Amino acid sequence: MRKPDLSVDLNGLKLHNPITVASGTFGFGREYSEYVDLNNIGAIMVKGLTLAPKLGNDSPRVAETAMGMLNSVGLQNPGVEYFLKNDLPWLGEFNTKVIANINGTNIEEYCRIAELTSVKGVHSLELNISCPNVKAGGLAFGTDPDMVYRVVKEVREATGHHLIVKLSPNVKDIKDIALAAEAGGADCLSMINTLTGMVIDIDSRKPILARGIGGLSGPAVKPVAVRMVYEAASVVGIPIIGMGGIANYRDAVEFLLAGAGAISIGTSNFVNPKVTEEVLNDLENWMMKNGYNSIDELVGKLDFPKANAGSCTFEVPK
Amino acid sequence: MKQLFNCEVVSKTFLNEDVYTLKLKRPQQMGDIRPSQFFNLHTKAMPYLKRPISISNFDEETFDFTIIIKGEGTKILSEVKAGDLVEVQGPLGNTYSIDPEHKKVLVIGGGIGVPPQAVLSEALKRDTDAHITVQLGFRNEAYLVERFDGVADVLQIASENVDYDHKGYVTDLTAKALEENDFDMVYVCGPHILIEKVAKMCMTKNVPVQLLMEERMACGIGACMVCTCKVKDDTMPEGYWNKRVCKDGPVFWGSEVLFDA
Ligand SMILES: Cc1cc2nc3c(=O)[nH]c(=O)nc-3n(C[C@H](O)[C@H](O)[C@H](O)COP(=O)(O)OP(=O)(O)OC[C@H]3O[C@@H](n4cnc5c(N)ncnc54)[C@H](O)[C@@H]3O)c2cc1C
Ligand SMILES: Cc1cc2nc3c(=O)[nH]c(=O)nc-3n(C[C@H](O)[C@H](O)[C@H](O)COP(=O)(O)O)c2cc1C
Ligand code: FES
Repeated sequence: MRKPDLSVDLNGLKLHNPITVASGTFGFGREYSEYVDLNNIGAIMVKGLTLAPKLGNDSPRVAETAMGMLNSVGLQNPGVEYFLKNDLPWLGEFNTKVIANINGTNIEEYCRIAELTSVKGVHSLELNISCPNVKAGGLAFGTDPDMVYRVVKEVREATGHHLIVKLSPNVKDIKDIALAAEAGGADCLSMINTLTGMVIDIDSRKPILARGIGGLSGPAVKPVAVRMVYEAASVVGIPIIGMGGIANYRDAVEFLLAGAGAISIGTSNFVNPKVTEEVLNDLENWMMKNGYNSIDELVGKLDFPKANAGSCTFEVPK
Repeated sequence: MKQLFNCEVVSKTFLNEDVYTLKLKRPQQMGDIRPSQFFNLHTKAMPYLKRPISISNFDEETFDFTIIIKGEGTKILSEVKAGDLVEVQGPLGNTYSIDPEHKKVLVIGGGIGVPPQAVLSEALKRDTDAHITVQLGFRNEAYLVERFDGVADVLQIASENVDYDHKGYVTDLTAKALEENDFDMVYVCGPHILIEKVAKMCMTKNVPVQLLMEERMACGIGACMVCTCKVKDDTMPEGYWNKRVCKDGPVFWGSEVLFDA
């Protein structure tokens, strides 16, 4: 049996395999490099970067739930300059693409960080307009199609770099948002960011998270994420990196069939630090066994007659 | 590459109604283990995330965890039987700093914080000539006391509900000990409130103190930033930075931690 071609081309961003790791769940790669060979990962989306170092929210910042967790890290990071000086050169030693996840509190800030990160060694920028854990910016930008269009367009004008826009699931209609990002000039979409959620300790009658509300991730969100990738892929012409609860190769194939051109693994790294390599190996074996020669033969190849597709879409009650 | 281990359960012993010790087979490839380090434990039956637990004993062949049943995870873990496999990631975290020059040290453990102090006390006994005072605090019955018997020069036990040396909080004993002695080093592990009280007492008396902190964790290796401790940092506008308990800790110096921000 011949080995399948795992490489993907995300509108100019070429990865040697479709397995990436989701921002905020893999740090800057150092910790997991002790468990997996970073050369086996298509791309690393680094921890969300802000202009100045950011302290993040108070503890507790994590609450567990059925097959998932809530986090309210609040984008703690050492700042973009620190990353460029201390982490980027180290990441450059590996055969993996580096994607800078950028976060601003206003459009000017997004543009400024985009300019700063448009350097050699950073292969793409991932515009995070969907973080639920910070007061200013973040989610506020990602939920209104007009705002999405504006911020993407201005960042597009500020940089010639490959640009991914990361979408929030906490919206009325993901298709409108996806279209707005595409119209603004995104080369690629990534989705989904975390869903807002809450966990309460009934004994103390207090929320577990210091901030009350946080972002839900892990296998619990997977069906929502697959549905959203499917819906967005049905309206845009640019590729999508799908994520949300991927824990094994079967989850990954689901996202590819729904229309994702690559996938990203986040929270599952916490439970199984070797998950990226396992998904890669299992995916390759499964493709060989089933006669798939390339990832392209899977992307969007859902066997779902168009006639039924209408009845599948779900209207959010007004 | 670091390994994840599936370790066979050698034995499980209940020390009282809700405290048990798991003894696991130690894989040969596992590196050195040091006092204050912890492991991420998991079984398929447990809830989603792994549970961080301190090492409470080890030799060449086996290693132990002494665990208090707190919620669902530690309850399900208490149901494993000899021969079952437990998934183990570690050892993780930094280590207590032990100075052979120290003449007089104080070790304090409360509740969940007692098990790691047993490993520490034994290391102090082995690696230093220090006079070792150990103070342990419990809500009810004491456990693991036999581990401290042979190594502590002075052993004092406080319980809120049972008569030992002192009925009440272990910090009452600590206040007295700090009044009457000049310690070179204090080591404390336990609930947050205990750690904070001891740290503040030591700071007032200018006695160096190492704190073994606990925080809710997800990755346990320093990648997710959910387990933080406020550490003084003059270069930050707020005067502190959030360090990671799992990777930069779990041991911090009393002088670096900010309790009141
Ligand atoms: C470095 C470190 C060392 C520890 N050593 C020990 C030990 O030696 N013996 C022992 O009995 N316990 C120890 N703990 C605490 C232990 O991890 C928690 O009691 C345990 O995770 C509770 O899990 P649960 O499912 O039973 O409780 P639940 O309350 O159902 O847990 C729900 C969630 O909260 C987290 N959580 C709850 N309480 C704590 C806590 N105190 N610390 C961290 N996370 C918590 C759990 O991990 C889980 O994600 C240690 C914790 C840390 C961080
Ligand atoms: C602890 C944690 C921190 C995160 N931080 C970021 C971040 O900084 N930037 C970002 O775009 N997404 C962040 N995310 C969202 C993830 O990148 C991902 O979109 C989400 O977790 C869904 O994927 P998963 O279920 O595989 O984790 C974070 C998620 C977690 C769990
Ligand atoms: S638990 Fe992930 S950084 Fe500490």
